[in-house]
Amino acid sequence: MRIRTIKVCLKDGCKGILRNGLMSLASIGTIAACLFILGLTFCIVRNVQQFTNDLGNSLGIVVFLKEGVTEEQGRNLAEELNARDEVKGARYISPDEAWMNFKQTLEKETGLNSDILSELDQDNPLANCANIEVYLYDAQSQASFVEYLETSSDVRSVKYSNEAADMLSSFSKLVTYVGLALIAILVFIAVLLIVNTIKLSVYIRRYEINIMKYIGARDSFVKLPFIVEGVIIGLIGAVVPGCLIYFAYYYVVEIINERFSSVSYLFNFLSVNTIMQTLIPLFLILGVLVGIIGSSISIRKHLKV
Amino acid sequence: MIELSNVSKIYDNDVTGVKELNLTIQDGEFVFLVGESGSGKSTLLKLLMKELDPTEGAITIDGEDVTHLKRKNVSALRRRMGIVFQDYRLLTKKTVYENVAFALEVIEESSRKIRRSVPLALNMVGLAHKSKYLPGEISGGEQQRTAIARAIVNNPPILLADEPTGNLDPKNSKEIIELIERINKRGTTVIIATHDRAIVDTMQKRVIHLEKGEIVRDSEKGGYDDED
Repeated sequence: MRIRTIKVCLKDGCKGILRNGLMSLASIGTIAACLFILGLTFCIVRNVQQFTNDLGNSLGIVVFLKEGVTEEQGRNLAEELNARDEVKGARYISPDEAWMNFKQTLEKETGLNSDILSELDQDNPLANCANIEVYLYDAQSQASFVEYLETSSDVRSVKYSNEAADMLSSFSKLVTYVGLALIAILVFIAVLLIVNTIKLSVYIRRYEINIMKYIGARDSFVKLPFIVEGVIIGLIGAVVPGCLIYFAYYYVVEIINERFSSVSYLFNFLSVNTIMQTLIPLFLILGVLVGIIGSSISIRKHLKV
Repeated sequence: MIELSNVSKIYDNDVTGVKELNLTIQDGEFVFLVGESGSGKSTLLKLLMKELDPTEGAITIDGEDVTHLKRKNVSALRRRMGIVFQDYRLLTKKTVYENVAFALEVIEESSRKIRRSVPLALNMVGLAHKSKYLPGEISGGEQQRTAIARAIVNNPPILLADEPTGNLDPKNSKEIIELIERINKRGTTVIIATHDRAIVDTMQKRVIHLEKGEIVRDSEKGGYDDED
């Protein structure tokens, strides 16, 4: 295709938008609204995923080791666990450290002076409590990980909260599915809107298309200006909500962090940059795709001349 | 050369467009397709320009079987033919020059070729002095001349015209047909569907008479109602 042809198609595509000014504007507006809701859904889904992940991470697994397992064996096992993909961190806790932790917790929670337990230091009551504390990346992988641990000959028992992990995992899945369904519906609506706008544009130019076909224009030459029109509408419809979400998300998170510090203590919001890293490419791809698909559907009928 | 062998076209609603047509048109011929409305003239032209596919039979153009040409190849075939309609089909917002240039733009010709060919075509139809006019500012005859210039600007070997004088008065009709005859004399094969008796009678060219989709007369030279 010649450069001049591409220029002509770009020019015609832009002209098409101006020619159907109001309809194009309405389309851009509605697509922007769809993508804005889509963006909000995305922000909520991603933050809920992050939240459940954080909660899942704080659900540690305590692996008690069998009597007779040496400190070296314990540390080796911790290292082995650390090397696994699903493990965020695994740390060996010796009986002495376990006893010290217990004393500190007791002092903190009851206010008792831990010195009264010092007499027991020589005869550690937790001598058989060497354990490994494990934190996973994803609570969903807890069940299979525990199954794996229980096959180890060095492990006496594994302490974990099955219900909490299950609940978090189900909740995270539910939010993801609902989000995906909502996103699919919104994309479908956006395609429908582009189809209608381009159909109007094609209808206005049907006479011209008819002539073009009779004088030997290739289908691609006829189609390209409408695809350009669809893509431009899709892109503008994507950039507007992209900017809106950037500022809205930034300020809402800032306000929550400032005024509702208890919420921000519980809930660690994703940064606006993290959200935008995915959202901007997603919006641009969706905008372009919706434009191409919508305009291709609209013009198909008129090419059969 | 255009050849049709046993070509029939039955529309979806069971209406017969044309029936078992056998026809050969040599390069450079001037042919009138005559007959009443619904006799199959336009169907035959549409089969030639591949707007329709035949239900039966075979069509070859310059030795190439175009009976069931793929849609993507139709554009290449149409670049080898100029098409003129009764209603001119000009773009009202483009000038005479732009309408003619449009035919070259859409087949992606270079700007240089457009600058060179459009004035030649406009000279040929005698509209060089009106190149900057919009179609609404010129007469019906001049609009049809513009449409003819657009059809021939790419020098196609075949010119198909569907009732080219249908909207014109006798004087303009005569001028248009004389123009088409001049184009024919350059070697272009011309096929005109018409029910303009006066024109056919005056020109005394090959006449193919259709009735209910069938050829009832094919005269080498003659008028509208001549018997063989």
